Amino acid sequence: MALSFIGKPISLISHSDVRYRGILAGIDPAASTIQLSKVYSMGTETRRPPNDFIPPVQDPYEYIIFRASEVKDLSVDEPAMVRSVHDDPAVIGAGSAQPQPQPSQQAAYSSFVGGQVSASTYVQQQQQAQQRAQQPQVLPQQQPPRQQPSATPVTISAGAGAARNQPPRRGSNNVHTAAASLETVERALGDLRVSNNVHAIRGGGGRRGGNSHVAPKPIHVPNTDFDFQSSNAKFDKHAVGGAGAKSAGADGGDNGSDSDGETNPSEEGEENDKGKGKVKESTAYHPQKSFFDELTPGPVELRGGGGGGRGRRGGGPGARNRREEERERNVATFGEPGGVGLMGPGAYVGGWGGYGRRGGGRGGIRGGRGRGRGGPSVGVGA
Amino acid sequence: MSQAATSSTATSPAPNNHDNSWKIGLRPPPKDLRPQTEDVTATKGTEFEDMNLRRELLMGIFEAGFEKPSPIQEEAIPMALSKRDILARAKNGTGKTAAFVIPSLQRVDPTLNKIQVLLLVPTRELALQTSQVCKILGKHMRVQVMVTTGGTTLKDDIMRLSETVHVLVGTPGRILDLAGKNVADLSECPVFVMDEADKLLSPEFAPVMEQLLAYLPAQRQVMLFSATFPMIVKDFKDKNMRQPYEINLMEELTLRGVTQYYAYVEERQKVHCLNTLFSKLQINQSIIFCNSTNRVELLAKKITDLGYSCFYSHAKMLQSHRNRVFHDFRNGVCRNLVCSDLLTRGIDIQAVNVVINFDFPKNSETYLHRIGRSGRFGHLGLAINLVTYEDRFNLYRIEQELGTEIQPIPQIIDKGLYVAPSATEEERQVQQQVQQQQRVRQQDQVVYQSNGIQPQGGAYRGVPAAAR
Repeated sequence: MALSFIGKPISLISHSDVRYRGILAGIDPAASTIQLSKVYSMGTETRRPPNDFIPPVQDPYEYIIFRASEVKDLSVDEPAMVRSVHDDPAVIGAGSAQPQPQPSQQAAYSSFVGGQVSASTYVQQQQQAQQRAQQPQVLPQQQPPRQQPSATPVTISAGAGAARNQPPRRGSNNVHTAAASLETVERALGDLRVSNNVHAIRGGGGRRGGNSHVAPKPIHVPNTDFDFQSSNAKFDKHAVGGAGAKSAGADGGDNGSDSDGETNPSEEGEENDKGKGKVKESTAYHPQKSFFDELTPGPVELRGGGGGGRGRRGGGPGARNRREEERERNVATFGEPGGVGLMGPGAYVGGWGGYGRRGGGRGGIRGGRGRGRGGPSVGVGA
Repeated sequence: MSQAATSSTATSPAPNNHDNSWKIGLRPPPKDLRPQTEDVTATKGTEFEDMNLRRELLMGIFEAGFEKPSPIQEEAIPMALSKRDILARAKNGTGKTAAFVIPSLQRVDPTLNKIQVLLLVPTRELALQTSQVCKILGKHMRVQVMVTTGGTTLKDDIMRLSETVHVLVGTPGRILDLAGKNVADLSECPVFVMDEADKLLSPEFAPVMEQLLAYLPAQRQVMLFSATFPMIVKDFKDKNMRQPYEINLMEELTLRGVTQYYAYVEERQKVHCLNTLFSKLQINQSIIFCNSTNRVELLAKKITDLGYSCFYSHAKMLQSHRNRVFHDFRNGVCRNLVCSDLLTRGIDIQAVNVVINFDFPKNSETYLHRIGRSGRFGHLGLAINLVTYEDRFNLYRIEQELGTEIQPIPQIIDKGLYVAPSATEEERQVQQQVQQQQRVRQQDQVVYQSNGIQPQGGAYRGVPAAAR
């Protein structure tokens, strides 16, 4: 399904929060990689605090291969978003829009390659891209960046097949199985169908208030039953625990290979009969040793009294990011972003004070979901 | 009806409570015959009658339908009566509330016009629930119970406090407010109880607790109850408690009676998945948790669109609405409740047999308390977690920390795992109800359901089950 997006302009955000714009050139399920061509690195834009800022790169890369597991987000660029000088009314005509690498720059980069220990993603990409541009046949092993110790979570390799040969950067903690990672990407691409203009919102960083236009589109709930078996079969719970949780290791091995998902529940069912839930030792609670536990505590912002919630809204930029993330997730789950005032501040409980305000009466509400009443009206109740 | 008994024993505590004459005229609720796990049955065999409680208190206990003390009650009540400080840890829904309400009431002198017990809880709904338990258990004692929380007019509280109050139940902020204004006189209040103590000592509340303690007399008894006690509680203990007696009845963290499953879904499949769960499960009452208030509303709307009725509740709602939802859901007016973590702790609705984490929680403490909303008082229950790819680390970590295994949901869930046997017999009837419920489709809002369909639970409903 994702293949239908090949040839489309794509925005891709890596786990380092760098956004790349380019044309989707291919997806390699086997290697779990995504390939973009004509790629511009847009830098971190506003996604990182200023001291982590990575600036955009002016020149495009011919292509970049991305490790799917390190891709945080993908979206299809609207055609209008592809920048072109021709869009500028001041421009009457222009020459080649394809900047070429300049010799002076290459010299600068080669000096990097020579002795630099800096492993910033930014530099790596440039090096790789430049090398790629110069000598397409270079073997992955010969690329200096990979011998450098890299602390950055993003692994980007330019050049065909490079990603394939790279060892996982996270060592044994690398929990991204190839299949799962690709699934993330495919899912991300799948989600694009739902909200095709999501990019306009994501990329800007300056979106706020009413100018968002996530089109509320009701999600489809099939009449058929949800297939728990085949859905669970797509997920290997034990893969997460690195070498598999010690205790879960026994059946963890089986789970890896079985794809029909049939044996799994029955096995666990037996276990369930024996110990009903309690099958292993807690890592956070040892009643013989201490009265106290080490469970991860609940969120602080869960204010029990519920008081003062309103005043807290609109914290720093972090809060805004979380809100945007949530709105996007809400669109994915419910087909609409939600927001305060969805049902009106006094209308939380149907039947109690809610009816009067709506005026429209009952009949109108059903059909009218999302026609202005809900939607992204942030701040109605604030 | 029992007036004679009350007055004759008012001054002489605990004569022979074993002759059953005092029970005459009391009407306990129908027995709850559902099976129970050893979480509540593994006792040493103490009876309430053995605890030297006042007869009027025993009458309240009996009338509330309590038969025998649960393990935590058996341990905590005698120790609390000895006036020692207590740290008590027991699983969700195993009778902690009554374990501190009973000894607290025992220590109240109804003839004295002073606040003698301060019960603190972290949420408003829990305050209502706890005060209800106090009122029921203290019904024959002439004890005056007052509940006070944020979100209500201060004026009413001030008026109320001009009359007699023996037991003050509430959330910390409001009580501190009242104490600071010298409206609530805590200077002769010897009993200080913190329910969900770890929550009350979380960074947001902790300073308030310390300030509140300063209003109490130096000779006071401090009792902390919860199912989770993180290390932050230790600081408070070291600073404010005198050689507390530690009661820990938790060999493991999770409830025996609650079977936990996960269903792997994509975000956009969650509603579909939930719809299927609704149609397949035999839900008596369910609580469905979302991770934000917006999502609570969105989901409630969606559920209603699907033709099921539901209530919802979250922190940004008007308090009066929250109260009403809580009250009506408890009374079985509606089968499903969608809520945020507001109702994660302490809420005791015995008829809830299914908890659904529509959004998987981010930490084990929240998870534990959420799933503890089903399987109350040793009964059976089901916890179903919708898990997305993003949740995989949390799933792993929560399993590890809790020492529990969350199984993949099977194609068919054995009803014996979460439906009481008596209810299984009524299965057909329930299914009819479900079909009827589908017809609620006509109603287009999150509606107060009024067509007479009520969750089974009449037998347990009248009892504020938290009291057990």
